[in-house]
Amino acid sequence: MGVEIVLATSALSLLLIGLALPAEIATRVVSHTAVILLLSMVAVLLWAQGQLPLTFTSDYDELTSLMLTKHFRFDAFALYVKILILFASACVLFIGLGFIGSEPMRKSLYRFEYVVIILFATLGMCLMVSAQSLLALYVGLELQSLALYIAAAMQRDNLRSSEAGLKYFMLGALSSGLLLFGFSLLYGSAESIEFAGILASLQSPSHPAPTMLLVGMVLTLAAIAFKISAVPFHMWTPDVYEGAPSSIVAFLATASKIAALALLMRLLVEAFLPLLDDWRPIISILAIASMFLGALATIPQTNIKRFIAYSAIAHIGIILIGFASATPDSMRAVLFYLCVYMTMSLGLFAFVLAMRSSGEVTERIQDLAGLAHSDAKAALALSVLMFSMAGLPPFVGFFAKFYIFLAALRTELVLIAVCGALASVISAFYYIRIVKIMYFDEAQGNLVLQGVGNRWILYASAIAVVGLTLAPSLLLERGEQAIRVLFAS
Amino acid sequence: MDNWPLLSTIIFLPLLGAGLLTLIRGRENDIALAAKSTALWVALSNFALTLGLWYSFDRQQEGFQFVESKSWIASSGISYSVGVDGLSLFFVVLASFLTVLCILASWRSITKRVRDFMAAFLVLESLSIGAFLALDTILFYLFFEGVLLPMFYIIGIWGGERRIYAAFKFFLYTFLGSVLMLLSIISLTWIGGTTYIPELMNTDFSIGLQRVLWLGFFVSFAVKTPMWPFHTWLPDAHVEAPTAGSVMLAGLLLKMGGYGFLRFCLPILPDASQFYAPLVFSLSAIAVVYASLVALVQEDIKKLIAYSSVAHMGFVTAGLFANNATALSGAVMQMISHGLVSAALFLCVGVLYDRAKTREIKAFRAIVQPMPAYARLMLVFTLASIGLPGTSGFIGEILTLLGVFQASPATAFALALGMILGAGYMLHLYRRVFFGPPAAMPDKLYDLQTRENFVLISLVLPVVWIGLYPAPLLNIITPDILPIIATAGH
Repeated sequence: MGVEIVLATSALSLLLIGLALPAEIATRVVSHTAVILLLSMVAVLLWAQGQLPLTFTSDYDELTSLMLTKHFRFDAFALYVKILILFASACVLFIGLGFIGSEPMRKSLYRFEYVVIILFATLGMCLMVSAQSLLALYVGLELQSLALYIAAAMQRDNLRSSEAGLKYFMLGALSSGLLLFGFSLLYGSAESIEFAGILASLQSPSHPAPTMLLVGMVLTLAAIAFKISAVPFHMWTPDVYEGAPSSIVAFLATASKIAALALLMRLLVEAFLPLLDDWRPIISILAIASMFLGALATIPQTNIKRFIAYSAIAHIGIILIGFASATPDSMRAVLFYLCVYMTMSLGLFAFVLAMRSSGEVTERIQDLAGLAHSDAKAALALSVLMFSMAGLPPFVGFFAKFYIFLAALRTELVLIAVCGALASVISAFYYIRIVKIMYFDEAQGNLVLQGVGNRWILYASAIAVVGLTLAPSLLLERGEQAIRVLFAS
Repeated sequence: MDNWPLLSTIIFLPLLGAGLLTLIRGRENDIALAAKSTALWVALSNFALTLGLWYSFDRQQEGFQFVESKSWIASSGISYSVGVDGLSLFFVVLASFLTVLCILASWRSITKRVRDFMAAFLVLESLSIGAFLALDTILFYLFFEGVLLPMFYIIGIWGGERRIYAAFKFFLYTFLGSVLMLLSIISLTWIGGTTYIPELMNTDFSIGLQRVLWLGFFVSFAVKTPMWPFHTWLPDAHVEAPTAGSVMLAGLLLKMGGYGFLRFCLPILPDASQFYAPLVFSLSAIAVVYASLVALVQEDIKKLIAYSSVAHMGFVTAGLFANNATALSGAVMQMISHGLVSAALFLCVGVLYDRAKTREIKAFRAIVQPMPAYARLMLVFTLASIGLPGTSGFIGEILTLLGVFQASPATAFALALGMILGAGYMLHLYRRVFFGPPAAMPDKLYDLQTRENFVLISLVLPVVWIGLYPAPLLNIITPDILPIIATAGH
C-alpha cells in the first residue's frame, strides 16, 4: 500500500506546491520533482523485489482497520507491474516536458496540473493491479480513466484534442457501464465481489457455471477489451491517439496499456481460471482480429501517431495470444512482452515528441525522409526500435514474440500461432517502411530532434533493445516470481 | 592457445570491424578511404583465420569440432553453441573469401556512403558465418534471419532504379519463410526438449510430427535457396542489388537454404525428408528446366545469371534429397562451386556495368576486341558454369547427376536436360556479348585493371583447382555426410 499512499500524498502536495510557486517555474519544478519521486520509487521497489521471498504476498493485515481488507493485495505480481507503470510514468513525464513547453501547446499544456493528473492516473493504475475485488478494481480503473479523459482533452484551444477527449470519454463511459453491468451479474451469481469468492463459486463441482455468470464475464471482458483497445473495441484508439497531445498518448500507450493488461491477467487467472474453456475462444478471436486488423490498417497511415495506434493494436493481438494459452509460461511471456514493448515504445515516443520540422511540431511520417543523412545516430536508433518492434532477430522484440509463440505451441494453439506468425510478416512491412523512408528516400523536410533528454532516452531504449537480447534472463526470472504468485492463489 | 575461442573470433571479428568503422573521423574522402582499407584488413584477417581453421580441422574426426558452448538463456535451455564440421567448414571459408573480393570489387564502383557500405558487408559476413557455425536452433535462427537486415540496406541504399521494390520483396519473401520455420523450430525445441542441434539429431520424432515440421523448414529454405516456385524474389533482388550485393546473395545467402536442408531437414527429420523427396525432386526438375528456358530469353545479363542460379540450385536440392553419398557430396560440391562461379559471373557483369552503365545484352557486341583479358576470364567462368570437365562445376554436376540417377532416373533426365540448356544460354550469352561485328561504343570499354584482374584471377584458381583435384574437399565433406545417410536408412 505504501506505493499508493506515497503517490496520493505527493500528488496532492504537488498540487499545493504548484499553486504556491510562481507560474513561470511551477511546471518545471513540479514535473522534475515528480520524475525524481517516481524514479526513486522504482529504485526502492526494485530493491524490494530482490529482497522479498519468492512467494511473498500480503493482504495488508496490518491495515485492516484502515482499509477494507481483502480488497487489495500487495504481491510479487503487483510489484512487478507497478515497477513498470511507475517507470513508464516517470519516462513519459520526462520526455513530454519539451513537447508541452513548445508552441502552440505551451499555453494550454504547460501547466503543473498536467503533472498532477498523470500522477493521479498512475495512482489509479497501481490500485488496479493490486485489486482483489470487483469494487477495488472499479475504483482503480475509474480513477485512471477520469484522469486520462481530462488529460486527453487538456489542450482546450485545439479542436482535435477536445474531440479526442470527448470521444474517449463517451466510449469510456459506455465501457464502464458495461463493466458495472457485468459486475452486477457476477455478484448476483457468485454472491461475492472478491476474486477469491468468484473463484470458489466456480470451483464447486456440483453444477456448471450459470449463464448469468458467463454473461457477466463476457461483459467484463468486453469492457477491458475496450481499455486495451482490442479489435472490435478499438475504434476510439486511432482518433484519440491522433487528437490527444502526444505526451498524453505516450502515457496511454505505455502505462495505461500495461495496467489494463495486468488487470486482465489477474482477473482471468485469479477469478475466471476454471472457465478457461469459455473465455479462451473469446480471447482468441480478439487476438486474431486485433493482429490482422492492426497489421493491415497500419500500412496506409501517414500520421505517426495513427501509425502507432494501429501498430499497438497489432501488438495487443500478439499479447492476447499469451492470454489465450493461459499457462504460467504464457503469462510470463506476456510480462516479458510488456517490458519489451514498454522499452521500445518509450524510445519511439521520445523520438515522436521531439520531432520538429522547421521549428514546428510535426507528426508526418514522410518528414522522416533522409533522416539517415541529417541525423545518422537517431536514424540508426529508430531503425533498431523498428526492427525490434517487427520482431526481427537479433533484437529483443524477437524474443518477446518467441516466448509468446512457444507458449502457444505448447498449449497446441497451432492455428493462432500460425496466424500470429503471418500477421508478424505483414507488420514487418510497415516497420521496415519507416526504415526505408529514413534511409532510402531523398530528404524533403528538415526534421530535427529537439531536446537532448529525448535523444538520450531514444538511444538508451535502442541500447536496451540490443542489450536485453544478450541477457533476457534478467527480466524472465523476475517475471517467473510474479507469475508463480498469481497462479498460487 | 588451445582454448582460444577460434569460431567466436571468426564470427565476431567482422562485427567488431564494423564497429570500428563508425569511429573513423575526418573529411568525407578520408573517411571513405580509411573505411575501405579498414574493412579490407578486417576481411583479410578473417579470411586468414578461416584458412587457419581449415588447416587445423581434423579430417579424421567425425562430428563437430572447435565446439564452444555457453549457457545463454538458462530458463529455456537456449545456449550459445557453435561448432564446425565438414559440411559447414567450406561455407565459412567461402564467406570470408567472398567478403574480401566484394570489398575489393566495390573499391571504385561505390561512391556514396562508403563507410556504411563497408560496415554492412562486415555485418553480413559475421551473420552468415554465424548461421553456418551455429549449433543451437535459436542461435541459428538469429543469424539466419539477421542476414536480412544488412542485405535489405545493401539493396535498398546502393541498388538500381527499382531498388526499393526489390528490397521489400526480398525482405518480405524471406521473412515469411522464416517465421514459419520459427514455428517449426519452436515445436522441435519443445518436443525434443533441447535446442542443441547434435542432440536433436539423435532424437526420434514421430512421423506425423516430422511431416508437419518439415514443411515449416521447407518453406523457409525453399525461399532462400530459392526453389521454383518460390524464386521470384531472386531475379529482382539480383538485378537491383549492387555488384557486391549480388555476389554475396548468390555466393552465400542462397547456400544458407541448401545448408539448412543439410543441417535440419535431412538429419533431424529423416523420415519426412524421404517422404517428401518426390516433391523436392519434381520441384527441382521443374526449376532446372524452367529456369534454364527463362534464362535463354533474358535481355539483361544479370537477370540471365540470376535465373541460371535458380537452375543450379535445382541441382543442389535434387542432390540433397537423393539419399546417397554420391549425390549429397555432389550437392555440397555444387554449392561450393556455384558460390565461386556465380560470384565470379556477377563480378564480371559488374566490370561491364562499371564501364558502360548498362547490363543490356544488346548494348554489347564484340567486346573481345577492346577487352581481351576480360574475355579470357569470362570464358573460364562461362565454361565452369556449364560444367565443363576440369572446372569445379563439372565435379558438382556429375556427382549430383550420378547420385540422383540412382534415386530417380526421371529427375536425372531433367537435370541432364538442364545441363544442355545451360550450355545453350551461357554460350548464347557469350557469343552475343563478346563476338559479332564491332561494337558502337568501344571507347568506353577498356580492359581489366590490376585490381579487377586480381579479383577475377583469385576466383579462377579455386575453380580450376577444385575441378582438377577435388579430393581435399571431398575427403572432408564425405565423412560428415555418411551419418546423414545412415539416419535416413534405419
